[in-house]
Amino acid sequence: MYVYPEPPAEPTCVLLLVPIELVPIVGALFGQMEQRRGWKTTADWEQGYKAFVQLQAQLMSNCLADLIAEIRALRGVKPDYTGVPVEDRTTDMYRDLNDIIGHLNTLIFALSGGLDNDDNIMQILRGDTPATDTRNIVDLLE
Amino acid sequence: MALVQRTHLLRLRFRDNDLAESTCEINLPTGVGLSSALTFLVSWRAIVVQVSSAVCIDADLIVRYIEPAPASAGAGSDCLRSGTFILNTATADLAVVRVPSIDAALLESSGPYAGIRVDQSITAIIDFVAALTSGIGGVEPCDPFVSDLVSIDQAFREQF
Repeated sequence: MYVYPEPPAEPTCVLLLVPIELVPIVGALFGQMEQRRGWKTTADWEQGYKAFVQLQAQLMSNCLADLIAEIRALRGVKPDYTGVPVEDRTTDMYRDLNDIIGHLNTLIFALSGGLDNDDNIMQILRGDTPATDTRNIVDLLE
Repeated sequence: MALVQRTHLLRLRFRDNDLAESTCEINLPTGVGLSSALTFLVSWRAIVVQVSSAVCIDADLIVRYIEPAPASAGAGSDCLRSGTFILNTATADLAVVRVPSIDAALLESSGPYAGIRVDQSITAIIDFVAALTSGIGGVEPCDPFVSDLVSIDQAFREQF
């Protein structure tokens, strides 16, 4: 008999990569946990039922592909490869995040007006200071 | 072929100290009304638990109908291949409904989930989901915890 476990104080999870051809079998295995008879109490069963149906739903989320798409969208495609269909693009066709950070540093320097004032911009990016409290951004808004 | 009613089945499920389970089953005539059958079930359970040293954990009244002359199943049918429909409930949870031997023609034929995901644009699937979420004749299904089924979340093939 299963007792639904107490979740940890700080909820966490593990990422399990399921080959897509195994999704029907893994889903069926999870499905076996929906049965009342496997759980000690009705309360355990209700929690377990909902958790394992959720796991089955996640099997259809194609999460890794979505995650890669999100990361690639963040990186941005290089100008030479904008005409390449998304499904045919490879990782080298996207900008490197280090290059983006380099450009960002240049932008920060330009916005700050020089070495004397860059702290304001850095504080905004870190979330330490509201933009309206800085001279540089207020100047830009005006 | 019209369905034919069978006897009502009364099933009491018992669990012993090793967590093993077994059932006590009896039948009631089809002419017994549901209300009377439920009353009988409650009384019957109280009597049977006096005879068993295990604990009664479940009491079911099952109203049964059978197909007296079923047609032959299709060559590609497989009851271990299930259509699994996961639905959103009114309490923001998920509930599952399975159909044995989901018709392979109802599965997507391209994309990463080809042969796995149910094509929800097919009329038969639309009707199936509507019956679950909107009900039939004013009667709406619910999940095991009495939450209304609201919409389809995922539908795919599982293999038992």
